Amino acid sequence: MGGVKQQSLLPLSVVANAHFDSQAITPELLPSNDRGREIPGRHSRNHLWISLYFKYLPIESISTSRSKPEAVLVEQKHQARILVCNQVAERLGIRPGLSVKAALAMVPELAIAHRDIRLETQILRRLAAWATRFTPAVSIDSSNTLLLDVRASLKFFGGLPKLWKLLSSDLDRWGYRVTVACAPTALASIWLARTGEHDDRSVPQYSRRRLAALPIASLGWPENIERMLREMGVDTLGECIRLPRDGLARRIGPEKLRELDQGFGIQPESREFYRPPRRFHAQLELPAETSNCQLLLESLGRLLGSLKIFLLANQRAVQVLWVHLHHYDKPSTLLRIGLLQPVMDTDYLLDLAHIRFTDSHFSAPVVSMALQTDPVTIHTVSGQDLFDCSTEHGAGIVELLEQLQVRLGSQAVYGIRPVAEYRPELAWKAVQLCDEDARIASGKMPVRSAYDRAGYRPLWILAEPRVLPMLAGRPAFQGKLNLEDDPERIETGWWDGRDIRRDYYRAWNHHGLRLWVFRDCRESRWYLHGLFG
Amino acid sequence: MSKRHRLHQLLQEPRIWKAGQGAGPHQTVSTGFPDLDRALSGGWPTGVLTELLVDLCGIGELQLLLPALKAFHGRPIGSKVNPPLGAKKWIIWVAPPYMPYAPALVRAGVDISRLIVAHCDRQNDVLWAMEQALRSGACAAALAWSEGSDPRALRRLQLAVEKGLCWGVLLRPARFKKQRSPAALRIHLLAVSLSEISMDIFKNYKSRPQKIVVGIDGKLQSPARPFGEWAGKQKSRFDADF
Repeated sequence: MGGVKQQSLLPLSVVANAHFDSQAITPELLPSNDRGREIPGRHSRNHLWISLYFKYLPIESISTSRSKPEAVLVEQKHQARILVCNQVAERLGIRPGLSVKAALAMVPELAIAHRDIRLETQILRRLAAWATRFTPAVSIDSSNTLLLDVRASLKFFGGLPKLWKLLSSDLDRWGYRVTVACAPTALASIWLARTGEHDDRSVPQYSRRRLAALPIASLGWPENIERMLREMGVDTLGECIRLPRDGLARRIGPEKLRELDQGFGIQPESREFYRPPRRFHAQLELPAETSNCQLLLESLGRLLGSLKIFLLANQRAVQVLWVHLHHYDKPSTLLRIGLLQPVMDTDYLLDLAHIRFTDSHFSAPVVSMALQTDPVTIHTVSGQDLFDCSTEHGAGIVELLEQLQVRLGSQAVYGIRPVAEYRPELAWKAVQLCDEDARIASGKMPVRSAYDRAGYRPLWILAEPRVLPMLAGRPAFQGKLNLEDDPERIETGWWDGRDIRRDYYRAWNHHGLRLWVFRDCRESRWYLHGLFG
Repeated sequence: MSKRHRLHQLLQEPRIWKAGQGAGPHQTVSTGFPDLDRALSGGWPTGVLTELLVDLCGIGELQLLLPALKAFHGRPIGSKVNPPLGAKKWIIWVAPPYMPYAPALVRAGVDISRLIVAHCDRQNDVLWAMEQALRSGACAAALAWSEGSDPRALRRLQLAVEKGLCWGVLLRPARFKKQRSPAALRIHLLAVSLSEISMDIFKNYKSRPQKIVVGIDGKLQSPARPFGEWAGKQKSRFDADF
């Protein structure tokens, strides 16, 4: 039953093969009838899970008052009981599990609130995002516990004590009361943290005796199972794991037994890891409605600051930004800032926004602003060749194109390429310059292709051929046109319905303009198609 | 003695611009026309703004610029301080009056894989885009067709060209001839005949003003007839109403 090597960035649950050191499970702790069974995963790596149990999160997420007693209630069997209370209330004698009526009788000025699970989840996700600083394997457990598998990070941080120092100083800054424990399996660390009595600021230690001595209540199982085990005379986890397995499975159910096994490392456990969100979204209310570009840019700068933290924390790069400007009565304006390559540098994004905002007028004063990005990509640093100088200038052209596109529009900046086609208006195309092959390809175009062997071509061409009025029997453009004697007939294009039959002439007028005109043979009208020089 | 001293002091004034003393060791790009090379003492200057004033677009001004554009085929432009090794720089055309026709440009020998075309809706975008292109250092040449006359924007263009050390050409309607401009080289173009253009170099940072006639390849088989009698009828209108 070999384990799967844990990989850090898989999306969903990963089979993490956890097992103790060979000293951890002594023969006494193994079930007596399975003494010979091999501990699975002896070849896989160990894990070290630190669990942070935010016991007081329900009350701390709502308010952090230090003077007034407050508590959060939970409904249990149609009776409202206290879930957690803050320190002031604790000093006054309130305990979790007390009924609300009794609590109010004890402390009349107690403020009671309902639990806000969404807020707690939000805070936990923010904490998980912070925790990815120490390890990519962060998991959020449903019981307000944050789990970090730091085994792989120990070498980088220089050992558990140093890692713990960084972790605890950050935790102090967050200000939440937290109980910490560590163990080789995630479930064991959850159980240990749940029974921790006070904030432990020293380096958490794991000891198998402590695990074995945990009461059954730390498993968090339903009351009837707890009562049954208590009546059987089983009080601690160590005794529980030594019971005959098939009998235990019949009494408590196979899932509970598997949970117990996973906690002791007999069976592998799986965890769903925290994934950072793929898009960034932030909103900011402006202090007063304004259409001043400078103030709008300042607010945008603050939003970009939080985007920068998000990108840095997750090592992602952003390519498309959407700025929503909300007005009071009108529908909101949407501005798009698109880049040719994903970037992490938010100062550059602010410069691009500056280009976009200046000289542009908004229809109404802006009330609030929101920033959103398209799914962010993993930031890759391209390898730089020592002798490759093209990257230096390549960066300049990309920035120039991005700046031009931001201000002029993404369709307004392009390159041109010839197309192998007889019809003159289709013999060229516009290409977007962010195309890789457009940038690299050069020298691959034929100087002369078979398609323009026939005649000269003008340097300028009109987007649409323009009808020319007739003046004394000759076409006129700013004066009468004089035509050359040998026209070029182009008759082609029957295969896609845009067939043409035209006689192209070179012409000039008395202003000195040299033009390329044609006469459409079917309509017998004269058109101007291009200019020479 | 004192008069000479005062004259000497006067000549040291920074506000006095002395023609004939070049602004610095700027590189020049050969124009491809020997007469013009001689008149410009070498060719089109880099590092200073060139201004071409034309009445009508299409009389041959692009033909004038073509040989120099061809020269940018993979050639790095830069000062001796940091020449990029083999780095191919780009050419940008800002707000051209019509679409550049790729097959014709290829046939003429221009490297269009390094060509950027930028269209602008507003006039102040034109000068802004040219300034960005010149300043970025990624462009070896920038051509812009502008009808704006903002003196501050023009001054910024001149500074940008100096910084980027590239070839900057601004094409404007001939009515701006009388207006002051920070461009160091200003030429008024007039069509003399189908294959000749008269260039009135009325501001030249390197030498004195002069007028020359340059023959361009008209590519039309008609006889080169001078439009002497028509010259007076030319309206100074820049490609305006179509």
